[in-house]
Amino acid sequence: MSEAKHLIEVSHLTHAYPGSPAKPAVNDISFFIREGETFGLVGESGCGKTTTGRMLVRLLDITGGQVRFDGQDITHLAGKDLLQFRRQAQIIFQDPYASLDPRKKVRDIIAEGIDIHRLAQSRADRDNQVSQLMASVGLRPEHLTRYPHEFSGGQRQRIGIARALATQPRFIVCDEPISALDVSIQAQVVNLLKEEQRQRNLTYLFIAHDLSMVKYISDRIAVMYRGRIVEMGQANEIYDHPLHPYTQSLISAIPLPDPETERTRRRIPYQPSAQEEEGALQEVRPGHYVWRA
Amino acid sequence: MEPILQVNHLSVSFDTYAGKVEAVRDISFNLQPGETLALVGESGCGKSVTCRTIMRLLARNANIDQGSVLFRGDDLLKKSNREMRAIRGGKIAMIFQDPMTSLDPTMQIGRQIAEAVTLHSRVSRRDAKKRAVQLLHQVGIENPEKRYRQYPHEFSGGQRQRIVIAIALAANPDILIADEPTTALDVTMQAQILDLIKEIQKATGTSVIFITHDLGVVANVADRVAVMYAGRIIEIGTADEVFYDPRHPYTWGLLASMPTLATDSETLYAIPGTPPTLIHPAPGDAFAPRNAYALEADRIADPPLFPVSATHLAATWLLDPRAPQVQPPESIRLRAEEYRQKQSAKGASL
Repeated sequence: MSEAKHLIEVSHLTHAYPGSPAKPAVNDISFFIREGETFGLVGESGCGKTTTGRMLVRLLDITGGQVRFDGQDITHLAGKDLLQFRRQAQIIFQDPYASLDPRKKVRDIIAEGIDIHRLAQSRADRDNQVSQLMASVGLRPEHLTRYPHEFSGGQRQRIGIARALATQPRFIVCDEPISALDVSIQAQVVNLLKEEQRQRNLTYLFIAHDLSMVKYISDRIAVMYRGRIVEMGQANEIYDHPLHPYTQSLISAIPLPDPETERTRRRIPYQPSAQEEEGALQEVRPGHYVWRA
Repeated sequence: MEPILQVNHLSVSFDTYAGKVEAVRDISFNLQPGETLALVGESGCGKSVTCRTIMRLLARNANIDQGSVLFRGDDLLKKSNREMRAIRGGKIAMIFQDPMTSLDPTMQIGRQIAEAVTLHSRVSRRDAKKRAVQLLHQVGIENPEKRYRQYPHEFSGGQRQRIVIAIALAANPDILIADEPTTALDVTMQAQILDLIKEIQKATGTSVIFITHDLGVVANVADRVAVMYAGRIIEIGTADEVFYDPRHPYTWGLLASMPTLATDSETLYAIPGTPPTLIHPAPGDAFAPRNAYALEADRIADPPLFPVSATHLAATWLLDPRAPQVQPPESIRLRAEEYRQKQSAKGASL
């Protein structure tokens, strides 16, 4: 895996929302994602993980820093070049109820990318592509002409995945794709995402707050806190040897389905210190980075 | 000990345009004084409807088709609305998932708590205020005198849930019903709220019914667990029995489909399919179509709750003496194995 090339390279990425220019939501973060890898991004709400994900697919403007996709600088792409990039970088959203157009049939929702990027030779080719996508995400042919409201949350998320796969992307941002789903459906969707990744050599940025699931699906993980990456490394390494006090606190708070463990659980509270404001991400072991004052 | 709440053969349905939805189907359980019972299940399994029935907060299209809800021996389903108003918030209090919808955005939070205090006891305004400040302190809000005068939007999500808990505690309820109180919160905040609920319970002896779909949360708070599926309780027992010796294939599936921090297999165990709609449920076990362990009997009749121990029941034909012996999924067997080892290690050290 370590020889794989870096599909995504992020350097000094920053996003300040217009309302609070002095407090960037994402503050000077740098990382890379290898081709075919799943990179997990965890942290509490408001830490900047969703903002980061949206910048990587250029749904939000990058107000500072740079993002390279397969060597190409995509930070300021516009027009045709941006369109070309977007074919290769897709996103799956958290809320399967809000992210599908209620007035469109499933066929047309999935074909949206095919239409925009003119990926179909003919009407028949378009239908054929959509049918194949439906089958690969586990939807039945009769679902083609139905509307989103006729589906359960898990099925809607399958539609969202099929729509993202339609443009034959190389990179997908999965923004909390399972948080809104029931427990028994979450495992189905995670298995589907992994299966598609294997077959299509996809690269994922997986954003979530369910730490057990992030650890399961990710090769490497970055922990974000107040707009900064405070720790980054191999998933196992981060969970087995967390070094930053925030990571330690986060891991100590994950409830596990195991009453024995829960009875003896000791939470580690986290109090950010003032001197930690100034600091930098330092490599403490090969591939394991920690924010140090 | 006499249970504080007894739910007997309760069935609740809703009239909808699509037909009659049988949301809760013949469920029975007891709640002991001071214990926490978790109701677990997926959306639509009937866990919230059960609690709304206890609180008599059902929508107009709901019918209570059968059963009783005995609170200290008194049937709540026979109470007048007026009598219910004294019990609701007074004897039985409820907290909901989204604290923002249960707080009035235009009213100082302290006054909202004081209002709850005066509603259920004859106290002067000054005493109500004193009690409100004390409650704020109890739920861990710093500077309670100052924050008394602030509005909900000035608090974080976790703090708002603390305020909702303070309101629920205002009348010293005997039972606290918590409907997914931590689902909207981050893990660190969630852990703090769970600790708070446990602390309060220790201090006041309140019984808690905790509704959640998160088995990690259940393991953290519950003394006993009732697993619901398609309107029925399909397994009930102590937390240890349900987590370490589960008997229903649905419980197996739920536990096995959650990755623990140790899981590193290529694919997760997943229960196929989706929960059924409860309009005209088919005869037989509602879980059978998704159940890899389903027997012929499941398609004919809904299994009764078979006793596993004095405290543990499961509704699966696999427990019938005529049923074939089956092996649960590997991770469930490992779970039981690990538990037995830990227990025997404990026994040896005593």
